[in-house]
Amino acid sequence: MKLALLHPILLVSLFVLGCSTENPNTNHNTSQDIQIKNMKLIPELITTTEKSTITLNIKSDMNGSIHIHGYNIESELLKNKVTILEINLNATGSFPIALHTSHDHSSHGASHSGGQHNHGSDKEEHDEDIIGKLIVNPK
Amino acid sequence: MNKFLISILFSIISLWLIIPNKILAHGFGERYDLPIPLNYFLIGGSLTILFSFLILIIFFNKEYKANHNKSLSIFKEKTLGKIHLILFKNILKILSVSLFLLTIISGFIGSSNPIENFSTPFIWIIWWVGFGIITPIIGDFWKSLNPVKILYLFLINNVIKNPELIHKGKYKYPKSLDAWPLIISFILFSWFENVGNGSNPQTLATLVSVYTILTFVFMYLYGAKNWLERGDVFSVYYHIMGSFGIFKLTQNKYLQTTNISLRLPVMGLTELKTPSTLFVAFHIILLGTISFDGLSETTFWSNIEIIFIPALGKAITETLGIILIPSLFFILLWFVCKIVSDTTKEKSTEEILTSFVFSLTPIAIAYHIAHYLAYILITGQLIIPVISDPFGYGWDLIGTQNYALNIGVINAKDAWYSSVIIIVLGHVFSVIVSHINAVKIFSNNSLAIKSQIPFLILMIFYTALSLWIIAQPIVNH
Repeated sequence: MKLALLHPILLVSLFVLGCSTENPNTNHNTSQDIQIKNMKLIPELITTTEKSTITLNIKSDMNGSIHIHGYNIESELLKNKVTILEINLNATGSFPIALHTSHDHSSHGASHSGGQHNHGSDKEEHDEDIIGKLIVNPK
Repeated sequence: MNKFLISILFSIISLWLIIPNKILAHGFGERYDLPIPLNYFLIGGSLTILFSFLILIIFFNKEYKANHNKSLSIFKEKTLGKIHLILFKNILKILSVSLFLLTIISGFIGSSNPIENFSTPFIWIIWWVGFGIITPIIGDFWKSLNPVKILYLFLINNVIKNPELIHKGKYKYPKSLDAWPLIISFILFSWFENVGNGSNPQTLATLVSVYTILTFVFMYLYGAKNWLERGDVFSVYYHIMGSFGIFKLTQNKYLQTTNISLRLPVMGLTELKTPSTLFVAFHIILLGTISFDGLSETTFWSNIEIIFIPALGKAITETLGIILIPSLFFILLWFVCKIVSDTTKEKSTEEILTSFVFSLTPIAIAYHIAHYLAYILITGQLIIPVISDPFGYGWDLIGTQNYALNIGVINAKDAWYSSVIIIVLGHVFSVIVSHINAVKIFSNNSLAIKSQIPFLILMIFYTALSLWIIAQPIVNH
């Protein structure tokens, strides 16, 4: 009798496990080459899926830095050199990609630890242009 | 009739002419929302139509007695006078006043960087958006928590010692003032929020201080009760939003809470009165603003701007667009009310409009909640570091100064499901409120049902519009 009861429980459990989207084995890595040319990001939209890792190989025609909002990842760009940026995609959303043309990043460390920029009053400290978006879709 | 139409159109146009930029319901902060996919939009749309007809079938041919206003009293005056509840109330009041004072002080003496200063995330995200989301769920607790009101009542009761001033004031509230204080304050608030550097902590602290002084003056002149119920934009705003909620707070003429009761959600909206045609205009402006807020962030709107900006310039294009949307909103509502008036032949268009203006509120509230759900959960976390360091001096009072936002706190799929469910629920509530209002004003059930068909079409359109807006990618921040 007890065994008979166990069958449906087991079946339901298997079904739930089968349907689960939280499958750790689905993690995968992707790589994408992108360019910054004349203050423009090519391609403008980088579309990917959550619970994976993306490696961005960024070639820039200018010095500066690239900043991915939300994820709050920032990396320096050197003219005509490839910068490699690895992002662990643990959150879905549409995240602006900004190009900073000034080297003064004093306001980026502790003050922007919350992952937010002040695009208003802080503007004089560094020039920031939103040049594209990182779109992380849910699985 | 013409006077009525002109007064409403004039207030809408004057409001939007004065505001030279788009209105967003938040003063600052970034959004990372993904638009809902087409299949969610279609499911939401289909559910809307399905529920509409189900409700219509339920009410059709049924003599409905309006006993929806029944509420279950949970805290009566006697209970509220018990020592532990008085203590609890006073703790909440002290907390409210402390947060209010901290907002002003941090704004004046703290860092000028909005995210390093307690005042900006607290006012724009926690209070304006967050409290605006909680109020429709729980009810109008702003009545008890309004710090300006708490301070004024304390002053009147303990320093001036003349409680009669609370409900009488020095003068009678002038009829000519009508709802103008609401409209004018709303214009100024929206202007500073988006155009007038409202995210700057110093500006914000100045504004809060000026608002407090003016509110004190007007409460003294016309009586706190009168002013808060008729002239104070935030009290009226939260009262409308709170009518959606499950708790009803009753206050006496000395503004003391005498009863807290439990009621069915949304039913408070059927009790709301529209004291004047200008008040109707104020409410339509509120609804229009909520919808335009999202619309102005879409690629659709951005494409329209691209076409007109070369010819008209950015400022004129945006101003024209901003005038157009709420005006269209009003014309559509007026047109539906006229159809109802013509087909039922019992009430004038103005009577229909004033009676049914709150029927659309649940859709607007639902849209507001759906639109800001991810925003409040993600961007709302900005309050955590500034609690440790409210002035931006580098303090770490409770160890959260270096807190980094958890952007994965809500998954896009969960946000999509929640948004669709909330918007469809808002539609269902709107249809119910509208039906109850119809039963109240029409002489028989068949006329009440007849009046609902044009409204139902309008509500389906409004719900579909809300779903469509959240299905659009956000382009402006």
